Amino acid sequence: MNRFVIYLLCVAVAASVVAQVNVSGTIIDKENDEPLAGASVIVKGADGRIKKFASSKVDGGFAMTMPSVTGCRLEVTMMSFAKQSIPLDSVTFPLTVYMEPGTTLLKEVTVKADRIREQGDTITYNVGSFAQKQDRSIGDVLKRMPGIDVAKNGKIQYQGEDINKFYIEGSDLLGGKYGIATNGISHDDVGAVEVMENHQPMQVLSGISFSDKAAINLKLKNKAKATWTFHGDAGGGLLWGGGILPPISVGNDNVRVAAGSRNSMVWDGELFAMAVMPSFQNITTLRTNNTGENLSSSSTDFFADRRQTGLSRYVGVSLPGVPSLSDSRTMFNRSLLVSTNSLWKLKNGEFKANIDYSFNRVTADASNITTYFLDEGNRIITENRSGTEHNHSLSGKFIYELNQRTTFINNTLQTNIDWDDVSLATTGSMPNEQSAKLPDYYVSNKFKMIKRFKGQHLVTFQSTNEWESLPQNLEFRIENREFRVENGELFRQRISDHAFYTHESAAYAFNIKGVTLSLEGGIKGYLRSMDSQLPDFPVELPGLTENVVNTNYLTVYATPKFEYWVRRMNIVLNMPVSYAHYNFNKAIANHDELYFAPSLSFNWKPNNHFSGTLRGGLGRSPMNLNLIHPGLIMTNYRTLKSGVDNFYNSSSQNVSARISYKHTRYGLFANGMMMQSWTHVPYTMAQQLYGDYVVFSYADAKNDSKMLMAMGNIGKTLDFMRGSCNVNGSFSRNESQLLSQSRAVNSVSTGWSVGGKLNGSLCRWLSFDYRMDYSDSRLTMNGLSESWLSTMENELGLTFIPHHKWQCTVSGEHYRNELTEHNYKSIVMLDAKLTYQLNKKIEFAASLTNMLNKRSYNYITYSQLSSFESLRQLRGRQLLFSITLRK
Amino acid sequence: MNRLITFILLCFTISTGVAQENAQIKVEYTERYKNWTGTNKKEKMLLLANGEFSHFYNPMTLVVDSMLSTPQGTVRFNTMVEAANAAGERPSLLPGSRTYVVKDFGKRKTTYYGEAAGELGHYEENMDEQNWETIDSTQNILGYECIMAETDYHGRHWKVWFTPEIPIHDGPWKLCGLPGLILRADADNGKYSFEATGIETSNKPFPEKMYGHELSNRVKRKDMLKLQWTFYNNSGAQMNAEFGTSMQEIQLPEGFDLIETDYK
Repeated sequence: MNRFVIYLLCVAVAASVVAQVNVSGTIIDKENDEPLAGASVIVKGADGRIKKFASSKVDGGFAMTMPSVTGCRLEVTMMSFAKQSIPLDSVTFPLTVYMEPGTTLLKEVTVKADRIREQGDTITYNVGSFAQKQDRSIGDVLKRMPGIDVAKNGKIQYQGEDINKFYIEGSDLLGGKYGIATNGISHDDVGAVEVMENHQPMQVLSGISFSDKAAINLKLKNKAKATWTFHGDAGGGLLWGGGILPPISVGNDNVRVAAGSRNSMVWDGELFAMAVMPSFQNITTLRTNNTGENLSSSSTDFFADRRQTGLSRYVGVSLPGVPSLSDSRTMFNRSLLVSTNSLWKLKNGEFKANIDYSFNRVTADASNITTYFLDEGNRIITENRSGTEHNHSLSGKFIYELNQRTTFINNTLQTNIDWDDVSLATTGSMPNEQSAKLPDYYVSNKFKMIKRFKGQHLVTFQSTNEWESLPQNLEFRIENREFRVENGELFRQRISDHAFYTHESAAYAFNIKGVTLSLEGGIKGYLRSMDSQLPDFPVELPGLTENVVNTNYLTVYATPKFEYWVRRMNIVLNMPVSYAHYNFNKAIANHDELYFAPSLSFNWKPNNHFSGTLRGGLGRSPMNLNLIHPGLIMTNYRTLKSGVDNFYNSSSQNVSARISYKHTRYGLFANGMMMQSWTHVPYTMAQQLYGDYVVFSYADAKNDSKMLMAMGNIGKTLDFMRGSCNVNGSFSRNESQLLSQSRAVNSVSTGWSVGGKLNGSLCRWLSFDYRMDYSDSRLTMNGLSESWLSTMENELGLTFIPHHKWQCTVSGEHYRNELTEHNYKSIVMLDAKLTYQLNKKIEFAASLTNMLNKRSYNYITYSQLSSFESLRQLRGRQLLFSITLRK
Repeated sequence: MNRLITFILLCFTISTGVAQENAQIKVEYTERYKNWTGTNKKEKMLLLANGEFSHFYNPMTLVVDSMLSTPQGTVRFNTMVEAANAAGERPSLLPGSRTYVVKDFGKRKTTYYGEAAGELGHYEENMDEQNWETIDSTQNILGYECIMAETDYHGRHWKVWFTPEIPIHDGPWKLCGLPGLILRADADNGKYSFEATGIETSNKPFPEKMYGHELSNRVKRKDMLKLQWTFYNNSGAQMNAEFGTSMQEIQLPEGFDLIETDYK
């Protein structure tokens, strides 16, 4: 008996007149007599080849037409059923085919794809496919990767958020100073860039704390591994000196900037060395220039915590800065930076040493007119300043880290020593010479240990100890009636200010059913002593010029935080509470205070397009302890400050809202933010003029200030030219109380700005980038408004790529400042750069900056009680040739 | 007695009902193509099928998206990420493509869930658009004798190899309708290709839902393709419009186009 029983049923079918056979029938499940859908029906020829195929429909039926079925077989197959094979030579259609259960034997080949390997969500970008001709460092290529944004100083953002780790071959060599790597490592040495989203750098926190930050890992090419790689740039050129600058004048005072009249040489050089070995990594760089590039920013620690010693300089002698113009336009510098960073992988954990030294010498010339708004008429002071600043900075950071699943330990010992000195000669209303020595000594040790127990429970211990000394010496000579400056009276002010801060804390966090509860508690101690002396102070000044201040405190605190997710909403409630004892060494009465400052935030993301956040908080906080000094302290040769002679608290409330919308299909992106805050302080700043001296002090009067800020941005892609446009706007209004010459002044500053950007490619070899910003601001005092004053900036850049080895960039900037109502000052700057890439290892470039040789720049700024107009010397025309070599 | 029979029958019906929810076969395909940045991409995809229904998806994406859909899962997922980091493994992994292709052979409908320019969308299409012609050529793939077939589908010419030894009319991606499982498929001489690299019998349940597609919108197929193409051509402009950056455009690699090209 055949294993397969085939029932062939004959139903009347007339032979077709046409020579076509209609192969049709029904497939039935023999077990239950039900039709079978989805069976595979194949007609095979005598040679075994497929002639026609079909599948059975829901009613089990199938139909095919064929010229002939002579020698053919019909095969019906289906998963879990035995195959049926019927010779078609002697059958009539339609057929009924009964299928019997059977196993479809598979020749199995193991499927590995769904075995979850324990890996993170990493996106890998191949560097080669993003690199372009003009790129030099890996930072240039990173900028082009989707979602990654690199600031000028090398700081990286992924999807608008700062990254939390920067790895090279999986090791965190540079910590927060990864700018050295983004600006230094050649893209040619990097094979791939990995973006690790939601990266939680501490293994012990895995599963407990969710990080929304991303990390970046550079995977080097084999040629750059286990060996030293080097590359260098060298450039030299000429900076045009100029004649005498035009004077700015107010009333009868003429002020003039002494411009350097000689041409001078410029240089720009860099040497970069890197070693990435299995158990050792090193990056060492040396950079120097006098082309106006500030190098200290390239060794900035992007992850640095704020120092808790809380010291700040009283002395404010510095070269004037210029808003809205980049350093490279205004800075006359000589800069050097040496940075060496090493990492050793130990049996347990790793050890890192980062040592940096930087030197900066900056000279600046400026003419300023300061107008003090007084009831009896404005008082105008003119100055012509010429100064030099030297900064030496030496820093060392030594880190031991153990990163395991149950324990995380990090100990960081850090020292920073800065020697800054400034000398500034001023002519004008009060001719004088000032020099300040402002060193800063800082040492800290931070210990952090996280222990995990019973799987989900974590305890964090932290111990931070910081010490800082900030001595400040100010010397100045003022011309008086009898003497010129060099023989004038010499004044000396000495300030010694040091602080010790210690903070011991423990934190515990856990997650139950989507609610994360974290609790931090600890104790903080602070000891600070400051004394200042100005022995021979100008006779016009009232009051003491000596201070001996101790501000010490001991705080016990607890910070519970609740975080909860409900479908598409995230709710965070923060409730910090603390008790503090303040001790002022009998100079002021001791205080015991209780602080509570709760805040609540909601984040809502209902769909693909929209996200909104609402936040609010209120509370009481202690004043800035640096303000406690009853005696006068000189900030510069004609400004003095005296603080308060008691301890105060302030209270504040704030609300803010933020929304963002994106519709990728329409290429439309928008976001907006609004913030309103109220602050209540029981003291008010007062300004008093004594002769040519300005004295700022605090009076016992309530000061309620209000601040409103709103900003928004809308962007749209312009697909027809592969470009985009953006429009942004902002508005701010600040209201506060002040005392000027013992009269109460209600001061309101209002400002708004709009800006736009447009960029795209007009054709294959030409692209453009245009930016415009316009802002308007005014000051209103006691209801009387000054006029609105505007500033406008336009910037246009054009890039030509006539040939793949050549690239030319031409850019222009236009600034238009309103000095007084309807009185405008404009300036245009033009730059050009030409690069030629000989081969992968050698590149030549020539750049000509400030082609029109513009030598001066005017600007005006307003503060609450004064206006400040400045004329600054600019870097003249500069031609720089450079060559880049890579190993 | 009658009750008992009814009960047993009921159980049988339920169990067959449940059986519909489970796959019978699990096929791993390796998808290869050159993506918009010129990188050669290789992605492991999975087809779960039982002849009547099938799901085609990236198993890594499914696992991650399903974990990230709950707070507890998110916590577990992070544990895995950290364990991988601890092991020093940081290879390219996730999220892979968010493509899910769900085929319902009873209704002759294919539902496609995908992502274009960061926006999630889904659409339905008729299964019978692929008119196959078998070719007199065979190839052995994973030990199965496969027959070649050709069709023009949504702008590309597909050559596939299917095996009648596995009698389901399914295949990778949207491809289906041959009297046997498609084990290899090439579009336009390998611009996009799928090749089976594993086959197992399986009674794995079909994924409960399209994780990660909770905020997905119903869209038109060609609109989705157009959006994707526009994004690839103007990714820099998109970034600039969204974040106010000044990114330059990436030159698309020579000859690059989407897997379906009939949107233009």
